[in-house]
Amino acid sequence: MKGVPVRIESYRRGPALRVILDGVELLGFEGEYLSTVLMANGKMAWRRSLIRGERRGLFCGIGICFECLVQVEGRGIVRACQVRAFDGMRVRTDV
Amino acid sequence: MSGTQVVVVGGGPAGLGAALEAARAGLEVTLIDERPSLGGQYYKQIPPGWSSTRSGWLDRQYAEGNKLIAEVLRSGVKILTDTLVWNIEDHNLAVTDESTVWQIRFDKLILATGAWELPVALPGWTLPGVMTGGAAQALVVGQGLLPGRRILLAGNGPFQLRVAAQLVEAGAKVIAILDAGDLITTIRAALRMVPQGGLIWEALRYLRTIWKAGVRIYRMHLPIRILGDGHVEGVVASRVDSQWRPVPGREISFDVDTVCLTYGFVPSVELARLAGCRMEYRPEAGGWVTWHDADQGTSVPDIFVAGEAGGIEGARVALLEGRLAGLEAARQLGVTNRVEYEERRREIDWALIRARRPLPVLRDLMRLRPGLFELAMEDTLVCRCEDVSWRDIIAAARRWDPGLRGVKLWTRAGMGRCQGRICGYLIPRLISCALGVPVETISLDTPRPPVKPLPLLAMASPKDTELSSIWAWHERRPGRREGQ
Repeated sequence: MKGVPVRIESYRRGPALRVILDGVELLGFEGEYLSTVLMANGKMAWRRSLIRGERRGLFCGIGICFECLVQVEGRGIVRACQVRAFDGMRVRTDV
Repeated sequence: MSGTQVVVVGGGPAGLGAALEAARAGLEVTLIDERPSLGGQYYKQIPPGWSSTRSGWLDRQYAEGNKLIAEVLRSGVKILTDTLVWNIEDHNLAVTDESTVWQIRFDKLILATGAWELPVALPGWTLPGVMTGGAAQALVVGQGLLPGRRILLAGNGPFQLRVAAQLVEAGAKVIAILDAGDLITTIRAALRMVPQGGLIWEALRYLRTIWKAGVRIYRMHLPIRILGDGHVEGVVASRVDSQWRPVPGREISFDVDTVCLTYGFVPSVELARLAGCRMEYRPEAGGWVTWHDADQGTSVPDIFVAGEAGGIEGARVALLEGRLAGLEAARQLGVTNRVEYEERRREIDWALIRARRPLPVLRDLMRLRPGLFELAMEDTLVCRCEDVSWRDIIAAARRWDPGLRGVKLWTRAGMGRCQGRICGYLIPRLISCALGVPVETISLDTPRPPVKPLPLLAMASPKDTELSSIWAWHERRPGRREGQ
């Protein structure tokens, strides 16, 4: 698919894990930020903007812009680019 | 309530340098960083337990950071990662780990909060697939993820060459690089850099990687429109003149799915402003920066600043400024031996002179021209959080007040979750270009805690039973404490 980010093969990652995004299971690896898991699974946007309802995705990647917000069960609303994924992480989009 | 002699905020080059130097002098030091691991943006590290079989682009910078972090870990510095400092009140910091809040008392505070990449408002810049060059770099180097299949880089100066080289070496398909600067300025800068070695060879190495991959660099070009429906599908670029204004009839289209913008950096001064530190406007150092003296002291006693938050000067200077701040904190606390101090101080001062030598050339290369702030169309969003357009912001500036505060009250720009970190840089520059007033005369908004959003649940579950003045900030109009 056009635009889908690719995991670089020469990296040795942590153990595999599952993230449940709006009920759908996604493959991730220990050490990956939640945004990395989402993007590597073809999710480029996971939020709608406040007024215009535009699709938004990762922009600054360093926790400044708050565009990548998601809701994580047990953690509340977090920046996907700042939170490491963990096995069984339940995530809701459209916050 | 816990306390410590020195608190350093920020785990990048400046913060690591400060923590090391203060610990070396025998002080009790706490180093706080919001992210899960130390290193900041410059010494980007891969996650614990990861490795890369191709080490070419996990390069010197990574290795240097790795070594520095290891040194800090060995030095007895208390490290609080995943911890956000959200307020400063007198000699107390309010911090959170998102589940609780508590306060830390300090004798000396060193702010090493760094910088972020400056945003550019142009049509389509809010589309998914548009990110800062730093975001792309964080994904590639720190996470082993290529951000897209067909990538366009747009920026100015040497930093984006580095991003481009790293992307190419990681196997990304970079379609083109747009550089707003002209070739003559670049060559002249390169020649001026030759006697200083180092940096120029690094730049040439990046260029060689880029050339070998067959990526074309379009000099004097800016992206003027990013196209797409729900995601980036293409970019229209234009040749620009020396003021970066589009030359009519010189447009080129690119078929890409990812755009990385790399035009410079904005100092992170939120905490310094909250503490009441004096700011000064230095356009060559990123705009509003934290004023400091030759000892890295700010205008507020016992608060130091080190690195980019006191002006964009690069990581080498940041590390040394950190060391200087750590050393001066130790001297003020009376734990240094005079002879030893003077020797150390001389050493750092000399190193700083050497590290600052390339700055005039780099600043020439990275100077922004007004055309960059004229790319927004009427309905282009400027405040991404609250969806406020260029038209609404300029209208508010004309009718109400050409300052951030007035624009904020009128339009809600800057009231969203990023708290103006993105649009707060853009708005004064867009108003300046549209109304012809100097940027430095445009008033800033009032700094308010918490500097970043924090969960109400955390606020409601304080770790301290003793509730001191720090919780009463909302009753006292913070930021206006000194009788303003």
